[in-house]
Amino acid sequence: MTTAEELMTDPTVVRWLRSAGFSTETPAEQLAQVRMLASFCNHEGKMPQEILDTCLLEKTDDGQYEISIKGRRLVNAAIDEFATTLGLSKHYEIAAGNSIRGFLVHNGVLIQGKPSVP
Amino acid sequence: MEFREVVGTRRSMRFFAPYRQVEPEKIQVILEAANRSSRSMNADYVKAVVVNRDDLTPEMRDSLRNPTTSLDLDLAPVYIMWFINLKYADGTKERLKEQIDHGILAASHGWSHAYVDEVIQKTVIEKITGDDFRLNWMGAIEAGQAIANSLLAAYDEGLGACLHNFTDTEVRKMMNIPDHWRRAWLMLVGYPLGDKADGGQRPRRPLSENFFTFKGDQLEPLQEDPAVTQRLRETRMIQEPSPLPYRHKEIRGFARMLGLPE
Repeated sequence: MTTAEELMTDPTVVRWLRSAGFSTETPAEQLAQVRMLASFCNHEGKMPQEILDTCLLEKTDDGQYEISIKGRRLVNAAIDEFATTLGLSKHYEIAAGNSIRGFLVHNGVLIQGKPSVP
Repeated sequence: MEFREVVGTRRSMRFFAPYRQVEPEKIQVILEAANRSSRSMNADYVKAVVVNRDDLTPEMRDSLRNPTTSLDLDLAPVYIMWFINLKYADGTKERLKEQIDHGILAASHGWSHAYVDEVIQKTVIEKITGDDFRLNWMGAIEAGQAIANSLLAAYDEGLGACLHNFTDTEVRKMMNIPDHWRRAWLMLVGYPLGDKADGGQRPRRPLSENFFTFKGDQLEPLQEDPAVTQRLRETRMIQEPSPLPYRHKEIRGFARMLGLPE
């Protein structure tokens, strides 16, 4: 089990918050962003780096990762499944999933969302 | 819109209003602009298929996706699939003779029916069609000119557009696309979700980095005349550069509006 408070110093979380521009928001706002990730981590029984590792293949000699298409699809589906367990309206369910996708995106995993067109 | 402003306003737009359809007459303008492009041998280097996003089944739309072309397919209401017509050399002799008859290719420049009938097949056409690299190279350059014209036309019509790679395996089968149509770009077209500034004009390097004059015995980087540059600003070929001060907030607003990751 992990908590949002513990994850606030995780390098992948720090990188996400900084890259997404959340690091300039109040500590409470930042914590709110991380809470969803912490819940997802607990749902999956994994730490943030382990979730990233599912989506990325080993670093090559030139220091570049490759994306695991299969792993990325699995995580994307797991995010959708997790979001449905939250008991939220569709709008907030999508936002919850996208909060976690934002963590992946800002750590180098190219995931494009599906728009919910008004 | 004046020409300079059209050139300055064109940019690769990725946020379209997904709920706003593009009028068919605007698509015709875009295609006519391609049809009016410069082309060697007066040949037809491009083929295009216009598809309304909502006319595709979800499976067909999914079949077009690749890692970097995914969300865009859901946002843009119109797709123009551009192909390079690798049979562009067919009919060249007839077209060239037509141009001679029209006074476009003149004897003053060495053109005659005899030249076309008796010389050009071996010296030009077979050199192109018999060399796969040359065939594709020329096809790509000339198709690119048509596509570039169409991009400008889209912006002149108040639309946004962006060229993307796409996966064409399934659509080729579904649409019976001939083998000699080689995939070029997928042009996504729609109305901008925000304003036409779309975050500002994209960064470019100074002219002196890529453009040269030949002076004496060497290349010299082209020197800009500040007065000309200023005139281009006034006529909007050169516009406010990215990022506009509100861009990152605007993107966050788009993401929240459309339910996308931030």
